Amino acid sequence: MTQYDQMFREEGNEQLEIAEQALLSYESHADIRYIEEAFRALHTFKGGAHIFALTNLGDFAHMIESVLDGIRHELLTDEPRIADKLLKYLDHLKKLMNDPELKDSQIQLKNNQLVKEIKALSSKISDAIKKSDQSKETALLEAFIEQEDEENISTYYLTIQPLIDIETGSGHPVFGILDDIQEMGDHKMKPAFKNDNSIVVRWDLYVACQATREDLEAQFMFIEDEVELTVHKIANFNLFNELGFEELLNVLDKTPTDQKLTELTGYVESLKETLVADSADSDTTGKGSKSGSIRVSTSKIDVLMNLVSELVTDQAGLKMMVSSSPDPQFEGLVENIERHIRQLRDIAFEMTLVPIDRLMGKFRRLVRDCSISINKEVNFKVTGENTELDKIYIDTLSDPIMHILRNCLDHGIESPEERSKKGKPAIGTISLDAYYSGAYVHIEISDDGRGLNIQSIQNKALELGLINENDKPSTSEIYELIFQPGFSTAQNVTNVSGRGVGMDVVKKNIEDIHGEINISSEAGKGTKFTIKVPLTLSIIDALLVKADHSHFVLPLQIVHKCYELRYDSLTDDFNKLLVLDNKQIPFIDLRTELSLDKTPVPEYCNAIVVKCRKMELAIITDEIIGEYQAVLKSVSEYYKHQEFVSGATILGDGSVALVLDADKLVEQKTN
Amino acid sequence: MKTVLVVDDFASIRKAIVDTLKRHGFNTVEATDGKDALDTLRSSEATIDLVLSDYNMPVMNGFQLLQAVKSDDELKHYPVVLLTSEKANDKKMMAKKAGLDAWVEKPYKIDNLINLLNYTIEKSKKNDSV
Repeated sequence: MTQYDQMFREEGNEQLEIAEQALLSYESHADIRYIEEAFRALHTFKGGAHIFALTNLGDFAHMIESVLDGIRHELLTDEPRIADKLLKYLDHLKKLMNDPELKDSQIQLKNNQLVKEIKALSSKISDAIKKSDQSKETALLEAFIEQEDEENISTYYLTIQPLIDIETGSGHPVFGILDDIQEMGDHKMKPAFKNDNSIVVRWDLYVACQATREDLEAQFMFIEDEVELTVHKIANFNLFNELGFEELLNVLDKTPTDQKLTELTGYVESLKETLVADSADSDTTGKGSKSGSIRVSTSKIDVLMNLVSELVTDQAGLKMMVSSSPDPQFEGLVENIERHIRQLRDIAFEMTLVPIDRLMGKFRRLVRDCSISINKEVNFKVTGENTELDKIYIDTLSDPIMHILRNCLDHGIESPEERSKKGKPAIGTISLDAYYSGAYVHIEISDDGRGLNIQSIQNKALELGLINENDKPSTSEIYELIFQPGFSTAQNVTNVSGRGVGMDVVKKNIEDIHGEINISSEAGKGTKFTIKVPLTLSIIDALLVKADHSHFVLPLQIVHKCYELRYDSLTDDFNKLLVLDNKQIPFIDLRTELSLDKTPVPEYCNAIVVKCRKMELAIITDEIIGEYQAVLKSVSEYYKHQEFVSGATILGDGSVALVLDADKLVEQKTN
Repeated sequence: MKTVLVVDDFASIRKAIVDTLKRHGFNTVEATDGKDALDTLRSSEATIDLVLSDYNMPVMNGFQLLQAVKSDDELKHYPVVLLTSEKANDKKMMAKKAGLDAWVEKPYKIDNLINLLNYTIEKSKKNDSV
């Protein structure tokens, strides 16, 4: 049918255009006729989509249709900007035309999000129906209730007895109907034949589906003078998920017809008793979960991670032993163990990671709702939603990010009129970009609004006594003032962003997980908040290096390149810059930086170029020992304020290696 | 050979149905809405065995077409099958009362549709001869 696909695409688009035009007319002139027009166009579209097996298109169109139906019946009267929403759904439908299989994950995401949104609208409609006592709306009510509880499955027992001779393979419509019913859900059908030939005397059909008894009966409406039908609803859940049901059905095949129903009801009664017995999880009984994941308490994962880190340390010891007494068999064994531990470590680590995407639904919703409530139009752009972070971090970051987003919307983005005056697009933009940088994840939240007003921050700070009249704070110091408790320059307190409680809490939350938050801003152009949180918790792949007699560890993720060079080629000339591959790169020499001088300087040294914050820095060491799985241990308070150490690790021989905080080093050196 | 009048305003769907029917040995005549279909039925030289119509169409929908056919003594012998994505039982019931011969929900299985059309045509022929 592919030759018609193109045709459908054209005609489908035409229908969508018609619906769009109708909705635009409705927006400017709320006449129900336009809704009817859009409804018809979508209905036609839906039919076509189903014919060409474009299920996603058809289903989505069906959902829009039900919203339109609600408007048509004046059940969605208080919904603001409904035409706007409907147009958004139509736009999505148009996009689906090019990707009906939802291959693009963006579209899929959007699809899921919109489906949720429409379902919320649908449930509003069904609430409205429930409130209104118009009995003539019952048909509509049924349609919506059915849609609302998708899990609402009942099990039916149907008997169909032909009143005329119906032979298998005769193409009688009853076969099509039975086919359709079996498509509805879990089922079992058993035909009985006359004298063992192909004439059917009776079908017993058990089916679990969402359809009502009336729906099932209506299926046979056009052959009701040719078959006799009985429909029994035997349970209001799916019996096919229950233990022993299918076995019971096998037994029933041999049971006399008149006793079948008694047997069935007896079985269901016995089930109900057990249901009552473990009513603790009565919400889920009878529905059977087929989820591919299990819930594990985080404390168990913590224990697991701990055990894995102990294993890693032990393994390092083992590796040292084997290098001192080479025994090929032993060596092979140790290598295997190392590989397995590495896999175990990775899996244990991954268990704690979730993509930041998980928060996006919440954020999108927040931006949308807020922008409506304060009458600002905002485009929310997200990149890097697949960036993974520790679950604990994700949970901790949710509130701070929401708070920042609210601030951007409320204080940052100007009103559409103000924006137009300034020559900016009337629709503001807030972007959230998440990306890995070194051993950290950066989350940048930026708006293209008015930017921070340095003067008013300063005035407010003076007023609050946070700074003195004579102070000459730098711009970044002024921005930092925002994080002081009780600070707010908002002229009017709105219900969207806070009353000055907040930014200090935001900072505290982020620092609690060893993260940082920074602000940069340009007057009239916008503000950017950068949140930086460590990616890893306890074990990292690292490069083990040596300077003088000390060992250091560098996260492997940030190591860009290693060079060998003569130690005497390092000079203080040129502002401590090194020329590597025709590029000037600032360097730090661990020996001089940390005053390590117990052993004479080597003739050759190693420059390890690390890349962080899109900048490069060469770290000079005596020797590169090799890759190493470092189990991070926190350092004592004394080291906490060091500028270059983020932790420590215990080497196989029990000695300690410091973990270099390359990010801080780079920051220090390049500023 | 049996001839089916296929009524659908959506050309791609109409062509797809026509194509399917032809592959299964039917003759087809096409109409773009109920009004067009009525005109065809009234004027057609060709003998039409069955009307297969969409429900929602501009000008005259499938239900109106059904009513027009079944209330016209000249036309009421034509069996009418509605092929639709409508699901409401009350619409189905009304159509049955108006004399509809069969109701097929989109999406349909081709084999079942073909069987149903054959069956409906045979049955109406039998009734006519009685």
